[in-house]
Amino acid sequence: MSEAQAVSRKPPVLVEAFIERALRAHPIWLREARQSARLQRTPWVLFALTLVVTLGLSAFGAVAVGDHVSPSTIGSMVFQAFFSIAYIVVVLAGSAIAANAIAVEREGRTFEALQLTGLTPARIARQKFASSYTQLVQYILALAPVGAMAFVFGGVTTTEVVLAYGLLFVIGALSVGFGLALSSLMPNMRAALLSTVAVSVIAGPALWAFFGFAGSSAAHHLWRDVPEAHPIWMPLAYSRAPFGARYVVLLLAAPAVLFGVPGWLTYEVTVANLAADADDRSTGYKRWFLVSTVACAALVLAVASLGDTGRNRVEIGLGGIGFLSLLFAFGAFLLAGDPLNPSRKVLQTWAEAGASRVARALGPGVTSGAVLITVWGLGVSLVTTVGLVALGAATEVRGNLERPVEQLFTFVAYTSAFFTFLVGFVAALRARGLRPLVTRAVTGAALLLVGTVPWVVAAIAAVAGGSKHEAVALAAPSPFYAVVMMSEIHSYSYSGSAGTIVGTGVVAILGWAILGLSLLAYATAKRRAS
Amino acid sequence: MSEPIVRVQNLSHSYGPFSVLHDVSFEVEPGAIFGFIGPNGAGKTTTIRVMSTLLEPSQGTVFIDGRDVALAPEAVRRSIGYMPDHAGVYERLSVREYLEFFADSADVTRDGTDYSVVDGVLELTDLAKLEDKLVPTMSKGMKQRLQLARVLLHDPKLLILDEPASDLDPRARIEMRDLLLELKRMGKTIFLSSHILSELADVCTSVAILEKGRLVAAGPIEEIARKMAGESPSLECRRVRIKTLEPLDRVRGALADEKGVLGLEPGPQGTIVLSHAGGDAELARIVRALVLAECGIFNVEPERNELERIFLEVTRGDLQ
Repeated sequence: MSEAQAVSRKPPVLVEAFIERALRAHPIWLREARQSARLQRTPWVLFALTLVVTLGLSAFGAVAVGDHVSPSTIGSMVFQAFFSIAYIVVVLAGSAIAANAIAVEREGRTFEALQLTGLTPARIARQKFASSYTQLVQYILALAPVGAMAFVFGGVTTTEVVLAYGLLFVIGALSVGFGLALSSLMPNMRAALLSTVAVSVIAGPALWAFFGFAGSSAAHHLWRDVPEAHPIWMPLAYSRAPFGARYVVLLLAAPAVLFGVPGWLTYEVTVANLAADADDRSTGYKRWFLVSTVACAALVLAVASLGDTGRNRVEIGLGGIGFLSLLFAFGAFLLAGDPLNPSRKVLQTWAEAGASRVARALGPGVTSGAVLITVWGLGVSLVTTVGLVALGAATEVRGNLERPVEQLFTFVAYTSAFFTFLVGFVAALRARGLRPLVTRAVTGAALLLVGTVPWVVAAIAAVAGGSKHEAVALAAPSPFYAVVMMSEIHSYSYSGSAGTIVGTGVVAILGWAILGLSLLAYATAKRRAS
Repeated sequence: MSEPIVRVQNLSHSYGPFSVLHDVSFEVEPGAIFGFIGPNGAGKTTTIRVMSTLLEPSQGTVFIDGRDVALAPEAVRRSIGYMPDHAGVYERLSVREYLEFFADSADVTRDGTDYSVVDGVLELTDLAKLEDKLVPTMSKGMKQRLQLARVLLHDPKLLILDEPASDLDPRARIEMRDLLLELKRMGKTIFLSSHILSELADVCTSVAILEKGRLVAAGPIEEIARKMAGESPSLECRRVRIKTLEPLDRVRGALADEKGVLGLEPGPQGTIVLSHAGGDAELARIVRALVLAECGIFNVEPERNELERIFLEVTRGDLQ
């Protein structure tokens, strides 16, 4: 070997070697970064985006100056306008970039080669996320100088701008996660891109409008320094709201749960879709369900604890229980994707690892999963309800709390019974051999029918004559009937025809619970027989 | 006798209501070049995908190097190199970067930064001089070589190649064949799927023939031929093409008294097709008789190669 060769092959210095090893440990990210760097259109797209946003904001500023508005107001308006545009760009670009990430491998017939290298689905998902997120960060960084325009006018502080960028990065991560989850489902790029962009175009502005304007109004109500009708209110709230229990619960815990729960779900969905049919594709999302329901229940209790009176706390909790019920129903739909039984591979892995009963219940298997989800859901509902009552009782005399607590228990009883039916229904359909997609479609249709048909019947009965209360009682099988029952309890009228409403509601609760348990028993028997 | 590197036992598979494989069983010995033959739609790719751990079989078991593909896919993946037909490539990557990516993904680099394994496969597949070329700009033949280089990175015992020579030009086909023979010399077992029989006949020692999802023959080519000759009267008659300077009548006269000659007829391009009974010894005796009769013979070759004869005999050629 020549001296020159020996020099060229000397080991790299420690830092270089560390960096190289770190990059090489993320081969998908490194490869896609290389490919992206060679894509000639990227700088032009970024330049065009920056130019358009700059021109738009300049025009906006010019119009505002013409109207003799104070510079600080212009600064505040520029801040709102820029970050609203940036939010839309990040939601659309993030999901669109990620939509291609996995579908391009499937369409380009490179995915199998990737699988056979031994990279696990989780590693592929994480590296694809890192790669798509890196590309999205380019867009955010390209917009950064434009965002600084608000400084020129004032009205917002440096901290608020930095916080707004921080939120943009978090929202970007969520949108990339969503795009990847959809991409992992789709067989080709066109389907992935179309479905992702279609959802983002509708959901992105809708969420911006709802959380922006409704959130801003609520934030202004809680903290007067946060302006009303300013959709980019969160960075302002972080900066201007006084630190305390309300700050911790509403500005730290709530966003952590509301961003964390869907973010984690997108990761689990992506990993499950990348895994082979024989792999354990269930543990991840079941773990997500268990932890998410507890996190959301804890959040409900934390938010309720901010109520001024016991009554107020229980009423806030009631809304929270409604939100939890939706999460439980979503869990039932997730269960529909579980295989009927664990594969031979999973059984062998369990045997080798000496898996516990809990580990096995978390793994593949519709009936064990159904039992787990039902027991967990009912348990979380019960603990949350008891917690809410305790919170209410801590600051209220017993008499004032009686009706709200009765309402709370009625609502929880109905939603729990209906949840048991829903899980049993899904398990029974899967046990009968229906495929996951068909099961979800049938369950969705059944929910729609159960939710609406009893009301149509009640309406017809009311028109046909007879007591209005008795006609309404015909809607008892609909889960929305729980609201009617609560309303009756609120009006203190238990006797006569009003007693019929509560009475039929109780019958419906028992009916759904018995039906749900029967369906679970049927699914278990059917699985054992097969 | 050594343990088979591939053991397929009673393999069946269905896609929903459509059954594509029925009770398929065969074995592949280590070091063999094994041809997997069948018409399009016979179930070759499904079998290969099960062997490559990409598909869980509906029924039956497949063992690769002693491990069940359904129970230990991760371990099996380290023993195999699977090259699908029409594999994709990544855009805007050079040949070296492409291979380095797969070396990193399979974690076969030494110390995370030593790519001597990439240098090795570039050398072996004769791609070293193209290492800076962008992959999408390469010819089909070179891309196939690159795929072969990719599957060799982790030094697998078994190469599973699905139609490796499809769409290749004649030169690329010859080069691919030579490369496969070189890999066999290096001790690799090669499982080769194709429907181009001439290509398989040149390199394969054993075959399995699949038709409509059912295995119709499997084993060493000579063994199948011998077995079939005993079972099938049509295989008792062999046909060879003779290139001679003499007209047909002169040849016919020279062989008039020869036992074992079943027929003589004009063949393509001025050849004469001889049908005879018996094996190689009988043919040698007939050729000797022609030489002694001073017939100018300059070539004798089978009308069809052995594999083609077997294939035509065992398959029905129905649409599938």
